[in-house]
Amino acid sequence: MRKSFPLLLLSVSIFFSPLTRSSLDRTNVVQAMLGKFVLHHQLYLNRLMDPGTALPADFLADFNSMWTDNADAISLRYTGASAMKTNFTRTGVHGLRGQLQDGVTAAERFVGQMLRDPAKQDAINLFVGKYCSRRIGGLGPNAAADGIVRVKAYKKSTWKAGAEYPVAFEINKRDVLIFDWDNQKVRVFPIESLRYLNASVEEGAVLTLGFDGCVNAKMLRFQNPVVRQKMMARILQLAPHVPAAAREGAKLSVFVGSVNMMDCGAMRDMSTWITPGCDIYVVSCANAIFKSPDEFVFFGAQYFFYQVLSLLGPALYECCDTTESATGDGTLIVCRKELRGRLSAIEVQAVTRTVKPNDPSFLKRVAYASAAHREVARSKSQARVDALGSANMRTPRRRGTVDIQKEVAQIGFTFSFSVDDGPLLHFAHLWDGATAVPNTHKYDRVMAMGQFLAGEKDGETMCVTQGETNEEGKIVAVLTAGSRGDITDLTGKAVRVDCDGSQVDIGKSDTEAAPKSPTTSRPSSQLEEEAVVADMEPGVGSADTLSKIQASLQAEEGPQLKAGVVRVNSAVAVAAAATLPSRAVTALAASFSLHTLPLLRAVVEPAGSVLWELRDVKVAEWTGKWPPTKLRLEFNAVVLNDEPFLTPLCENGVWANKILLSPWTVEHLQGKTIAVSLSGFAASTSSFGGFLSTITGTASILAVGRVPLNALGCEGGAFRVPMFAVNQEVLSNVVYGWLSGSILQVQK
Amino acid sequence: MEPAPASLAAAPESARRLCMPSIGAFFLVALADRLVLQVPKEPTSLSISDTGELVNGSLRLEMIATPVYGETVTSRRVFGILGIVRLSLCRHLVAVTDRELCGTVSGKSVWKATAVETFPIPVASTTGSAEQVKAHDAHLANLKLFLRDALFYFSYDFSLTLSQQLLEALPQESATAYQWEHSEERFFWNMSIAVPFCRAGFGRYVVAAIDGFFQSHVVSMQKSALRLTLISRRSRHRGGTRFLTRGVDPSGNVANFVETEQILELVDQGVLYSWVTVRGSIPVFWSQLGTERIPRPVVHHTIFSADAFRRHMSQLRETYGSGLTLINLIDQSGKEAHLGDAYEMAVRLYSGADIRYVSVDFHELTKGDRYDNLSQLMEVLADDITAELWFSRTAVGRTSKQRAVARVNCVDW
Repeated sequence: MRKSFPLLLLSVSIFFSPLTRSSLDRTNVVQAMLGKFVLHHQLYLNRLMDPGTALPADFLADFNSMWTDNADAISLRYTGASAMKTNFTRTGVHGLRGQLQDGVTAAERFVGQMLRDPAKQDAINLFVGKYCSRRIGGLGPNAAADGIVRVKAYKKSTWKAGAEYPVAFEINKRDVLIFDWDNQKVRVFPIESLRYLNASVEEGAVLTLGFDGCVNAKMLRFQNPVVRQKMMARILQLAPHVPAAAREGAKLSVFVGSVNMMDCGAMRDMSTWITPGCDIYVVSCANAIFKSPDEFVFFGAQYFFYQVLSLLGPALYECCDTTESATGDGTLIVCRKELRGRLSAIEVQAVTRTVKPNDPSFLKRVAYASAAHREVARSKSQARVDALGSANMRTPRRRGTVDIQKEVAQIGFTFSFSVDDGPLLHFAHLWDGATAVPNTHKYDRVMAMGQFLAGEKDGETMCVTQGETNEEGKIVAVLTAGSRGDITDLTGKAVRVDCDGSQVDIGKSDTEAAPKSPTTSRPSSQLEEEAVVADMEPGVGSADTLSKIQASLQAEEGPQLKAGVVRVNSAVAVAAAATLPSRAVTALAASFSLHTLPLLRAVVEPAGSVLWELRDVKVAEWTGKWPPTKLRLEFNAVVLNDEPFLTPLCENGVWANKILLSPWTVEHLQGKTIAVSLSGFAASTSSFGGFLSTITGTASILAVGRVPLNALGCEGGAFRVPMFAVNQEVLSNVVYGWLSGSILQVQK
Repeated sequence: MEPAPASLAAAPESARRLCMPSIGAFFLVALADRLVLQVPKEPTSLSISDTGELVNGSLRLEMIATPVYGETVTSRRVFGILGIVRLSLCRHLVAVTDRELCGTVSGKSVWKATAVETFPIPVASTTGSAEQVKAHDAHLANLKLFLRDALFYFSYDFSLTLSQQLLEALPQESATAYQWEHSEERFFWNMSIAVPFCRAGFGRYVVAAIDGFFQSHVVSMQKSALRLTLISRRSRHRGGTRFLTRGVDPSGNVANFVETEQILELVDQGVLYSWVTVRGSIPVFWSQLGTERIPRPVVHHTIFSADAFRRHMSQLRETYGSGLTLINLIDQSGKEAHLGDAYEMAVRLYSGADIRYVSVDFHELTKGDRYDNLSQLMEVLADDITAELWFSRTAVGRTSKQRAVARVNCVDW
């Protein structure tokens, strides 16, 4: 083999870098070492050797050469070049010659990889029964009779141009193979994983296939409907488990929401956040970086996904796609199982924003993440040094694990999908548009739920949900003309939106949504009046609607329901804020408990690091109409945690009551009532949209110290309730205590 | 072919018959309309032909009276059939055309296929379009390249796909069946091409080949003869080449999974030890595609990750016993670091008992050619290995099972 690359021999130095000694040999060295150990032991058992003596030289030579040849053989099969470090296995010494050989081998591997790997991969697939049609032309009329069905299809982007591509799809008894145009690769799906098959009515030649574990439904366009029909028959024959009938369009409810969970910390019970029973969930988490007590960092997005799926019920729901970024932002798309195959063109994209390099809050975030990772690298290295007791080991530099130095920050995500090959439904969920930085630590951003009639033909549907104030206004949802939907805001109030371009209809809530807050001060049947609270840009809305809204705002009869729709050019801004004041307050209280929590916690944090949860929030005082000029809430705060935690960012919200900033001990808080007031609540309460107000709260401390698990609704198992309802201390106890028995680091 | 070297002579003991022996050598005669497999001195021969439609069932395998040929017929000596591959123009018989004796394992010879060739099965009507011809030729070329580099090992007397422990556990009725029926499908490389042939009732022509490594040495120690054998079996699941196939698939198969068995036979005492260790790519979803020389490994965190990892672990435990030692040798800094983190995280999230995870930065440990530092790692592992059992069989047939296994990996495993 080596003779084949004389030129590369000359440029060995190019290939000889620490990274080239990556691979196969390490495993072999260690396995041979274990083998030798085992051999010693076996010989000792038969009294052929004493412990502590070495193998006879010729035996050792045989042993070493055997393992070395083994490494070469396996390496050859996998990489096309022999193994590195065989010099060490063979002779026990890895000298200059061995290093030089390593360089040659690395070069060989590189060349082999470039030249022959794809061909070999084909042959392997062929040999082990995975037929692969890559780089093979069309296969003629006999092919279909072969048990292998092959179909010509056209590249999506060139359908109109009529360019013909070779085999794009084939099916045999075991697998379905689809050419992925984007990656120029054949994807192989086991036929059992075929879950959905739909022949589009509108487009006679299109067949849509959905597979388990595959993000997008695969759309195939055939030469004509007859071919498609034949193809479908063939597929159904080979895959009898697939239901043939395409289902009719139905109303879909979509839940879109985000959670900011710095350090994967305690979120309130996720079941109150996620509305059950929707058809599609698009949830995203920001900053889900978790650092365990033993310095182990992981990106908690997976955990979050797992929790969401567990909460919704894995038997009913299925994951369509997940995305995850280096900073720990992740998005999960879950849909009902039976819907799985009908969704296609699912796409999630992060909305990013350029951040000025000197933006202090962004820099803080960068600093936080880098520090966390540096710490981990150091502690890991230290653990290893401790374990192995080797003084000459250096602390490894950790490169490129977190790629957050780019001056781009995520400020939300967009999401689009299509049902039954219908028009694309677009969602955009924007986070804090002003800073692009999570300001507070643990609260959910916003929830919006829309119901969309699937299969609408006249244009794409767009829904923008935006829960927080930014400099652009207070738009909660935007729907383009030609779409219909119900928007549900955080209060549970559903607003029917039906805009076909000519009329705007503010429907009354026909679903009596359950309030999200623990208390409702008035029965919902009394909530009758409505008012408009949309905050719109002057001049762009319809004058009629505008005046209606203004009139209602100026009305004298006290607080009113605030819900309205304003048409803004082709888009409609919906501010589905609240119903009656009491209800508004209920909603506000819910938001308050969510949003104030971190602030409260942050205030107490200097001394006790107390994490509170507000419960039983009541309105004690309400002055003026909407928005209230004065509002006082009473609530109970439950202390969840007295463990220290990281609070790198806490600068939002100006605390009027400076007393709270003085160091309080946990004991001091016990049984006390504190008055809380805050102003400048910029990262404010979801759909209320950025009014400035003073909120006064009365907090009673019910419990101090560690709260038993059952108080959190958790019955001892780690995953009975969403993990994020459990504070970090409990989490560490349960999860890590639970796992620690099975995890062993290299330790003395 | 050649007589076995003296040092590799069969062991004195005659172990029990493990399966019906496959035929060791026979002739392949290529006629215009068929291939004939002719076993010397047998009155009937196997005729292989194709009716031409290339559909299932168009292949005709039948016993015919051994023909008497004219002088123009050429025959090849073959040493076993691997199977039949179907390409777009015709089918091909894949046969071992040259072999080499590599040694014995508990008295049974093991051979290496030094040449594997394909023989087109004549088709009644070969009307292929230009595209078909092109496809056929491309596939055939790839196949030949693969067969040229393959390292197939086999035995006529037992299925080399089985470790000693599994061979011992074979049921009684396996002695009356051919080896393909009792083989470990993970390592039975020609399974998918051989099974249709075997199912038709011609299993005696077929050998179950492993792809990997076999070597055997005889040494003497204190005047007693020892035979040391090393067998590596590559898994056919998620087979593939280095950068194209990485990590685990949703069914729990990892890329480049290799089972290595080290067998020590004390020839005079009739004692046999077999120790099995495995290696395989890091069992998380990751890929390393790109145009650079060493592309950056990318970990794909998905909702299915934990499930795939769980499957892989339970497969290992079902096969090799409940005790698992995971030895991770990848770099803990640089490009590979986050891969190790993902592995560690997967282990942490996996609730299986008896798992020991040991992560050592091999390059850091041996930096500056300090390969002697490896003994430190050995000290860490030693407790485990002594507790770990291996398979042993004494002269009187008493056996003890291996119940734990070490799974070693670096980036490429």
